[in-house]
Amino acid sequence: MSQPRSRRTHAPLRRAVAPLLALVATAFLVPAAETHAPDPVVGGALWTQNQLVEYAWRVGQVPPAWLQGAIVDAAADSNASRAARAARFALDGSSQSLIAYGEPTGCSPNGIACFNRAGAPDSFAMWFRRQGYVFDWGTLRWCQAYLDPPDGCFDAENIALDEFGHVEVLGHHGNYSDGSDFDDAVVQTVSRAKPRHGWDAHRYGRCDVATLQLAYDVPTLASPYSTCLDLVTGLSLAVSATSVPYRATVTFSSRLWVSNRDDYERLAGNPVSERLIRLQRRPIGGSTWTTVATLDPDDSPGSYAEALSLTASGEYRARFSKPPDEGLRGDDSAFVAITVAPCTSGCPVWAP
Amino acid sequence: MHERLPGLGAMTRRSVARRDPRILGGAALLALAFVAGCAAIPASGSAPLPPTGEGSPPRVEPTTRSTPAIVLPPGATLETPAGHRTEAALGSYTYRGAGSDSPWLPADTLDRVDVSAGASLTICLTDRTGIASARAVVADAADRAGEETEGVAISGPDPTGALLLTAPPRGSWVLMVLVEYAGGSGSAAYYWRLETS
Repeated sequence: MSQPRSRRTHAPLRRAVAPLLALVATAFLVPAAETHAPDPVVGGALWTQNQLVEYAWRVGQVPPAWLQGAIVDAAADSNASRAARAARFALDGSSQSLIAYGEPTGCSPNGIACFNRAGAPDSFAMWFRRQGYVFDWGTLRWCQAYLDPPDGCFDAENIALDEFGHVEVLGHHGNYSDGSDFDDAVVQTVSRAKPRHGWDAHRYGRCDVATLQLAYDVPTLASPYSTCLDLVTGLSLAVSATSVPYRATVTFSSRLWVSNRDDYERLAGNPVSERLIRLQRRPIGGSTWTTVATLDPDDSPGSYAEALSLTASGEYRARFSKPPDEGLRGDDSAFVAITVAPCTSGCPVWAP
Repeated sequence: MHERLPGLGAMTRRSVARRDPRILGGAALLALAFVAGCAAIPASGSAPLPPTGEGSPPRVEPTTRSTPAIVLPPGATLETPAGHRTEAALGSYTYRGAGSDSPWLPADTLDRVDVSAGASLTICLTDRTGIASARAVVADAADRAGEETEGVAISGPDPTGALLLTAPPRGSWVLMVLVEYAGGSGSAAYYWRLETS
């Protein structure tokens, strides 16, 4: 049974209990602070890593040539800028994943484009409103429909890339209140028209990429991590001997990995290869570290090694400094003390 | 016969009071909060609410041809201190594996809410979908693309699921509240036009 819709409710009572409500609410409120983080996820099944997902035009709602080109370009943009093992998209006439133009759509009344990924990992659907569709907020104009796109038109390639991002798994990015971080994502809550900043972005932003990496992993162990991430790393150091004769060669071996945390999803525990790992030394019991070598990448994933001939006892650690261009935190290994025996023959002659 | 307290099931005033006066006080506060916060607000034309559960089945609107139905997120209402409720216009959203993208919704397309500057406003979803977090921004009503937005403090949800915010200073505004649903089921942008005096 439907209930009548009341526009006026128990206002006097509400005013009377407002202080009490505030008191109760204080105990339960969850801060809705301004945050900056990887995009949320839409939910549902993921595609398999690097899955080739083909799409076709819906019969009877085939996009016009100008829109087809924009959609194909957006699929290529997604493939080129995903920086993760996310799905790849390609046009194939026999696919069950269908992209449609014009009515009817799966879009809400104010929606210019929309998607449904409930069929993942087998299929998806995508719709684009037709050129000239009249909304309450105005008439839809796709820039690609014009030789000289007017202000107020929407770049179909940008909007299609947003939709492909949703199909991957991306939800709308949470921007700062002033929108100053709009470049960090293509998958946005507010679609921008020409000429607003970001209206024609054709690459995923760093916070789109961050979520794709969390969900699907980085392409290789040497690939950079999105700067929208802030991943804790682990670093170890092992030595071939801790007590050696004078001038003996000691091999220093280090491993670097992404910490094994649940919220790191696919990235948890990843070995991290091809980074700069420094070997540092201090006198035993000393406090000042000095870099004495760089550890070379080893054949094993995330491994680094270097052999040094030692002439004095000391404490050693490996250091991974936070790279300026990726979302990994720096870390220092635990230190290892190495005792070097005094020189007994062929020793250097010290000046008096 | 014992009088039942709303929201406390079979517990009675006498049995509560016997347990601990502090419990009675807390329970009364909670009960009042339920009265003053989000009651069950069905969306227009929606089915009756289920009795329990984290959320409700998604609103589904059939389309005119043989395409998949539109999966819509819950609606939202904004309530003024005078008790007037106004439904939101729905912008972009993702919900249960589907979603739709929209531009900023300009003021002249939105239902007008007249309210005093600084008034307490309550926002409720029209079903029992949980809220994980929320953010709010306003733009001048003359700003048709939402080019210059600024944040508005918003808190909640309270125990009834209500989001609480304070009306902006005197002027004409578009308010956008971005709600992220609990359980990772999606998010939606809700819009209202505020006329504050």
